[in-house]
Amino acid sequence: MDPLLKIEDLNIAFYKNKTAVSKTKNVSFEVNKGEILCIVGESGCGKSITAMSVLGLLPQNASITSGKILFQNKNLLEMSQKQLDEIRGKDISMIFQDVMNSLNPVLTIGYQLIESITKHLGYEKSKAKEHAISLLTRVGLKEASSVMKKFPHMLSGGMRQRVMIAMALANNPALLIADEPTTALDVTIQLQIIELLKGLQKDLGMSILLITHDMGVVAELADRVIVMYAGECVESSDVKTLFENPSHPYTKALLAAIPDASKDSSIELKSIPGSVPIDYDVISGCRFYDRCQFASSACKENQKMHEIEKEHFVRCMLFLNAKDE
Amino acid sequence: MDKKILVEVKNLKKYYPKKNQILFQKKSFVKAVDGIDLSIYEGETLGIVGESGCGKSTMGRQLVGLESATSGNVIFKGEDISNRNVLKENRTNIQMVFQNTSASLNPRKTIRESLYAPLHFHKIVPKEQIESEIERLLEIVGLPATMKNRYPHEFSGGQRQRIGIARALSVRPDFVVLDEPVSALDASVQASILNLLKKLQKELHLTCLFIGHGLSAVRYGSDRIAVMYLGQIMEIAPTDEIFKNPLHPYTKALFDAAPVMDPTKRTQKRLILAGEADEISDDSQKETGCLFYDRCPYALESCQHTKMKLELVKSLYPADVTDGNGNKENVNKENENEAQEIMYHSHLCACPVKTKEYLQNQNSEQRQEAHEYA
Repeated sequence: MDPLLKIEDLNIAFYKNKTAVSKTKNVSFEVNKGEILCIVGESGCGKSITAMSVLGLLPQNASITSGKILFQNKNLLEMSQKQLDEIRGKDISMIFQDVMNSLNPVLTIGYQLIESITKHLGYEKSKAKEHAISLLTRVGLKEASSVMKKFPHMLSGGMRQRVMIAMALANNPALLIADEPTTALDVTIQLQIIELLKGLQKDLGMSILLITHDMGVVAELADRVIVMYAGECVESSDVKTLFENPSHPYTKALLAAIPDASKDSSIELKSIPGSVPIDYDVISGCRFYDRCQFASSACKENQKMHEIEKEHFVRCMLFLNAKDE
Repeated sequence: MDKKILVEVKNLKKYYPKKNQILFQKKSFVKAVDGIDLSIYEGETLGIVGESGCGKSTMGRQLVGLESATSGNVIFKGEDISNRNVLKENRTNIQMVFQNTSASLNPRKTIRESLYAPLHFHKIVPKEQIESEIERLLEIVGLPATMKNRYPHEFSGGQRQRIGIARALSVRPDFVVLDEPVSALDASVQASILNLLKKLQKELHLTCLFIGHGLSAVRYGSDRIAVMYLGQIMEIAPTDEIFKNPLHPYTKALFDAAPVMDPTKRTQKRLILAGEADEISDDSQKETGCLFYDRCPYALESCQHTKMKLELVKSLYPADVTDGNGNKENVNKENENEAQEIMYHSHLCACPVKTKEYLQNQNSEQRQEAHEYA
């Protein structure tokens, strides 16, 4: 079966004073039908920009320098804006972290929902309204018809995120891209949204590409995980393997650094020394080199992804001979 | 291990007037902090958790004197800080570390200038020693002294938070309010800041109020935890006790909502709260009953009408305290001290229903045990 979305060797660069600064380096991954793929990494690791590039939403000073983005075997990068508009909001839709800025503050929720439905599905207004109300009910908003008449500022953060999800679901997308959908929310609301996404994914059978920095959300929601660091994928595997057997030193360190509420508080947390390099595009070899406790001179060379178990890839020298074993 | 009260909060309230009111209409208020009683003991870290809008930051700011109180008192070392003179005297004793690391440092001043001002103004060290003191401060928060001539934007978020901590510590405070010090930081940086805070607290014998919405971070740093909901404290207990026996339904839900770092436990049963916290205004109907009534899965008819109060569940204060040599400690110590000690170790909860249930269960367990033993 062909994957729904396939990204091959994607390189994105930002232009700063007319010089290109690379932000992602040869990012490749696949999203299969009906799965939840999480991209996890710290801020500035290139995870959001990768997601934005799928929908052609890169900022003006950024561009894709090489690579392919195949959606249902069609390269999105070769499409015209008009063709892209057909797909955006219909087959691929997106929800954002900053819900306040992604809804139009001067239009009612109902107007914004109906607009998208009439445009993509060609429904008449009354039917579109019915559809919109059923969507809002589906995402767990009570009194959906009164929510339709409200403006975004009248809703709370959790409700706004639900409206965003309803809007994204309006046209039965095959792929939902969720960029940090729960980061700005409280833990109790976060759990509600996680449960909602889980339920929707099961019912509608869509695929979700989830971008997050929170390992907790990953553990709750993901089927497969890609760990990114400084613009590179460093590890990819299914979620159980990742938490049972984290292999890249960065993944290991990241998991050890998170305080676990269910564990004793007297143990000292293991922090990662240093910080994420800012100009990481000039680093040759492993980008985690400076902060890694296993670093050796061999790390200065370019690293490849090694398959250490079935479907478990790690970009690290330590696993150089993994394939032969 | 005498526990002395450093900060005492007595029936503290903060009401904000609602906007957009019609002229001559009776003014209504939002109750951000609504009658909090709290004692913070010397040398402890008290964690405050709650959803956004529950008033935890407002209370933190009131403790520092950045926000006035509508009514109630904050008593620091026996003196009320709402008195301007007392507050002025204690400015150096009470400090705060903010969440937003870039907004809390002046972008046009170098780090040296930002740290110089408090040292100079409060005459913490003689003028000749200020430079070396700045270097010492940077060193204890783990930054190289050579960075002191840089501007805030040249630092990463974690480094800026370290500077914020250095600034708070520069005047040698006794009491520090940490308002979500790590929630804006990445996971790998969070750990190092939490470790730093813990280390400094121990070395400098600081008393801290750790405000946070992330449960795990709060647990990591705190000796006791208070759970806030809509401006009131729902439950307060020593950290291990509250994690072992969360009694209030809201506490339980809050603990359950924290993501579990184990994908295999995804299916386990947990308490999911419906709805969201409303703000409480004085025209609200919740005035009479439990604030958590409308979201509580265990709510009884009676909860709607009974005013809830923090009640003692049990005291974990050991009856026979032995010191390091195995000798019994002087039992005849001053009554007042002992009372404070007992309060420090006690578990209080504002849900009479669950408390009663829990105590009954425990009693029957004990009886059963006694029975079996017999």
